[in-house]
Amino acid sequence: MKLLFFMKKEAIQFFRDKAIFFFVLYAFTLDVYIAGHGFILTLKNAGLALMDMDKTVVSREVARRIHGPYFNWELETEKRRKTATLLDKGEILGIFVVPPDFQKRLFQGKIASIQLLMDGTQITSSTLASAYIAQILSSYSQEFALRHYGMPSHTLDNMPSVESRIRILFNPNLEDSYFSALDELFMVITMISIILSATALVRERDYGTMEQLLVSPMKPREVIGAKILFTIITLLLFTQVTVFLILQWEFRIPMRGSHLLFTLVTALYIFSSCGIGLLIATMARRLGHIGLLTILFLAPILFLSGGWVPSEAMPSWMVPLTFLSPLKYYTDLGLGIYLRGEGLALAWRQMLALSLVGGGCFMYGLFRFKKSYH
Amino acid sequence: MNKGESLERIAAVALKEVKEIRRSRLFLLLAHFVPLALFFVFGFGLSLDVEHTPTAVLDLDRTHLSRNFINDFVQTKYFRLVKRVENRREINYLLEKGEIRLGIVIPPQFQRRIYQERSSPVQFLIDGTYPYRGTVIKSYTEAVVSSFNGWLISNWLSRKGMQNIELHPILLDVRFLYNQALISSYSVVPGLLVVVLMMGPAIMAAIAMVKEKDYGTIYNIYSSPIAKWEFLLGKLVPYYILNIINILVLFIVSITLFKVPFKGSFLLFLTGSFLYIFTTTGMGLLVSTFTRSMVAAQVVTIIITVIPSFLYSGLLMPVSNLGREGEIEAHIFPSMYYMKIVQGTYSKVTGFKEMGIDYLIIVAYGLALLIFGMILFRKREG
Repeated sequence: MKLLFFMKKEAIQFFRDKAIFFFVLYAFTLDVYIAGHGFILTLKNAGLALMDMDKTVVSREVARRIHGPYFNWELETEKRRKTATLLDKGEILGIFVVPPDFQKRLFQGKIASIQLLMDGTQITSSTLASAYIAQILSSYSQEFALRHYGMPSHTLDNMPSVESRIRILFNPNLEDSYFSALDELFMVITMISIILSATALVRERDYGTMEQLLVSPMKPREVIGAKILFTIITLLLFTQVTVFLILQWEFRIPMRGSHLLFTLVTALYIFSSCGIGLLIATMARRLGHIGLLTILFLAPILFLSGGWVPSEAMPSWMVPLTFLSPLKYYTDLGLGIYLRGEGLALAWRQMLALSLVGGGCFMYGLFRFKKSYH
Repeated sequence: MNKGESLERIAAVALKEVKEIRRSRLFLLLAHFVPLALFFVFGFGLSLDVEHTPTAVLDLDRTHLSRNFINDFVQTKYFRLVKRVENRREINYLLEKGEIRLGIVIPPQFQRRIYQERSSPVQFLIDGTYPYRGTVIKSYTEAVVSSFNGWLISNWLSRKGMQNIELHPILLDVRFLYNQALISSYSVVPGLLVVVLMMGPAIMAAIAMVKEKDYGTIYNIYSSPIAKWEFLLGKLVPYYILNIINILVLFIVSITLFKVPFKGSFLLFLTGSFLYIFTTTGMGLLVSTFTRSMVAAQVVTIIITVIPSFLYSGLLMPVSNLGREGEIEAHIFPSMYYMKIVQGTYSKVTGFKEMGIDYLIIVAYGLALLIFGMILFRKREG
């Protein structure tokens, strides 16, 4: 009962501050919407400039093979200067140069080369683009060679070869929004639960209202418990809004697993993040320290979660550290339950690990907080 | 009012702020340390390379050729064989569990069909949970298969007496400009400046302004003869200086510890960076005009700086590759323009002529924020 009254006080404080309410709502709705539509990691319409010095049937055909949705010919020119400026300005990703005599060399049975100049400051998209182009050219050149040697009828089917049958599971069309929207929701939950719980705890101390609480019948752990419980419940409600309004209604991402399990895991994760908030609260002397401290903790949590940077690609010394990030477990679980339909039978190990890491943070934060309380 | 008095009042406010910053040791430590910490967290490992993809194989053929085929996958750095499984169910289970991202199923009769000069299917099951990784895995898979096919076909042709046939007569010569070896820290570390110098100054400025309202010390200002603009300027100047120090420290760290080559004009870089923190400080100022508590100021500032600077600045993906909504958001925030300046000065050696527009947008942005902040800041209650 005491807890309920105290949570009511927290609720009044939270909803009275219009700016907080409005921006938290923004983060859980519009922000996830923008990320789902707008944050695209796969290559899309990469701008290329064509410098065709050969201008023959074959060189045309090569350029024609490189097309949307991955590529977009921004312009064709013979002026190297012009393309270089566009590359400098970042308006195109690369320049595709077909040398003179390209077709002639091919018909003579010689090797002809094509030069591809890519923007090395855009590492991700440049590597992707060059890999795709390499593949397009390789299949074209094989086709050309077979035709050149008089075997045009020989398709791969009647030659000794491997025919690859690729099937994409869980997201058959590789829709970016599936991942981007969900991952953004996970980020928003992390960010907001850490800062809300940390500020909720330091607020009383900073405004001097802690004295009042100390003489009230509330025990310190009840104060902390009520504040954390309020944060968990509020953010769970916001999460439901995102799931129904944005993920399912706007993006139509099918929930493969159990909604209940997803909510349960989310609650567990918010609890762990509040543990980090608690830890921050013990480090901050004043309210003004919390913003920077939050960023200090948020950065490694985001980075090590594996959402953007796959842990397989990290330097090997960094991989063990990823197990410290509660967001790693939540990303695995959240995507697993939502997109792959993981049930409790598959999820319980990760849930246990999340509870251990989150509970550890929480206990340590609680221990430090109690020490600073007196 | 004469100029001297005005300057004196600005200096007085600035001095008070400096004293407050210096007395709050933790704040000062955080103000300098957080940007550096972010450099170290992200600078070493922020690359989106897809390598060592955990892979499981179901080989129902178990022949010389099928083993060769699997070897072709495992030998690249892109795939890592974690398990040879006995049945299809196990592959599905591993994929659902997220333990593997690629499952390869080689059917029986694989070798026999190929030795009979026919094609044989091989099934690849790719986890689509991470669409970016899914597309990359798909393209690597196709590349390995196509080179395996090239080997099969040229063997076959030479058995038929057609030797020395060049099956791939087109050679692709790829060059990466500005960063030949594609060292990811060369582009990530300068890119992090954009992130760090957006979050830090905005949060500091927001706190500095709201602090007075929240603790009630703003009443001293209400009743003093100081003008609005004098007060605001006095408050912000110490943060400009603090962040200029950060710019210099981060610059030195980037070229020494991270060994990022700096090829362009230092003056252009410094001007651009200062204009950028002038603008991001303004973002904090704007937040402080419509928030009353430090809690609100920090929650709002973090929401509006962390995500745009990471996702929509061009750090992870170029802005032109983003969807329409993302592109709009990228244009609204100053980070995208500063990213062009950072890349232009660090690696591309772009001249002022090409980047002038970006400087102009940042200045206009910063001035607009400052003016808005001044108009919306009320030197009275309400």
